[in-house]
Amino acid sequence: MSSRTAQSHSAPAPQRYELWRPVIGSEDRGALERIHQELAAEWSRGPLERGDDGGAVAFEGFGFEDFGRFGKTMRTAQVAFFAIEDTPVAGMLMLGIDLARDLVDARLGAPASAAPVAFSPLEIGLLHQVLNQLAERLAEVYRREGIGKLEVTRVSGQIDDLRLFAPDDCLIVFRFRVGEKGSALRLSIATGLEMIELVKKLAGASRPVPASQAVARIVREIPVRTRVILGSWRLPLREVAVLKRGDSIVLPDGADAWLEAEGTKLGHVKIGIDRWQLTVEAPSGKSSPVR
Amino acid sequence: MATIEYAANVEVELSAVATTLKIPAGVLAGFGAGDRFEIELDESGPSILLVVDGRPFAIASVAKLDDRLVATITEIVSNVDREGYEPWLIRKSETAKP
Repeated sequence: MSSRTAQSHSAPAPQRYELWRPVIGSEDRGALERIHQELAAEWSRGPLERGDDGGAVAFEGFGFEDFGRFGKTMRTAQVAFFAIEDTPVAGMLMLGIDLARDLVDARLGAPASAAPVAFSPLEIGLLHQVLNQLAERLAEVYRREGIGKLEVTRVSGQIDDLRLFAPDDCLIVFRFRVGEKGSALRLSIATGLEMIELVKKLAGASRPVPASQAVARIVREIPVRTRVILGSWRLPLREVAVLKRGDSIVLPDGADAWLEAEGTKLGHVKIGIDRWQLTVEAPSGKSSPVR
Repeated sequence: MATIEYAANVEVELSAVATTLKIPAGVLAGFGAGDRFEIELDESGPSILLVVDGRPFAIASVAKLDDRLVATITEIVSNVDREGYEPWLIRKSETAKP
């Protein structure tokens, strides 16, 4: 791979902070970074592999840009437009001009061009082939990570060819570098912000679901009708039938009472009764179930 | 007695319910060794509810006689919905985890 300098690459200049830019949580950011680092590794092993380190792809991070500004700064040779099935996510995989020229020169055995020149139909065909191979790896990684099934809808030389985004639309842009640090060989992926929602769902699926915590809180607050039972006896109906006001029954002393919640017997408790207060105490040590 | 003669020997379970409380499930689940519910009694003093197979049957006052707890029936309960709930206070054991 030739050593083009970074003077012509399309990395964006630092931007002032703007309030409208979306906020992404650290967990979702981490998931997006990990997925695209894996993608960089896949691309390094696949379509861009050279045998030396020249084809190594590095993920440089992601950021937010509006489409209008992005279109002006991105010097793109070819673009593969894609959509993710059954989701609102659409995006673009873009081959930078320097990388495209480098790939063409390397594959056709031509010496590295001093400056990018227009691509011939043959060269464009070759670039489409490379883009499709890159998109296949991208689709494989997104499928594996649960993002969904990616379909390439069109390959073109213009990023506004499909009018997929309006100039004011905010995009999430993932940037990749081919070759050593400072290399101008660039690849980018840009998608709509719906990608963040997709990743949120993925992260949500792998962590304890917040909804379940809400359910647990509700369950904890459910009032349970609990009877404190001093004791019980089995006796024939005829003895029950003759009980009347004024009759007395000797009760257990309360040392072996139990709790019964909604008809289910719980553990033993000790009951203390005096003139003004009733106490129900869980015994020390492991409570034994009531049979 | 004639009305139940046919079933007079059928055994049922008579239970003495010291009190009935409404306790949040989370508090009940966390009721551990040494923890204590305290229920203040009103002027009438301690009483129990006698239930037959879970159905309220009679109310009885409770007194200690010669170190024994003795219940004396004060009312035969005809209204099965009569059972109410007592306010309670829980005191957690000092060794219990918060």
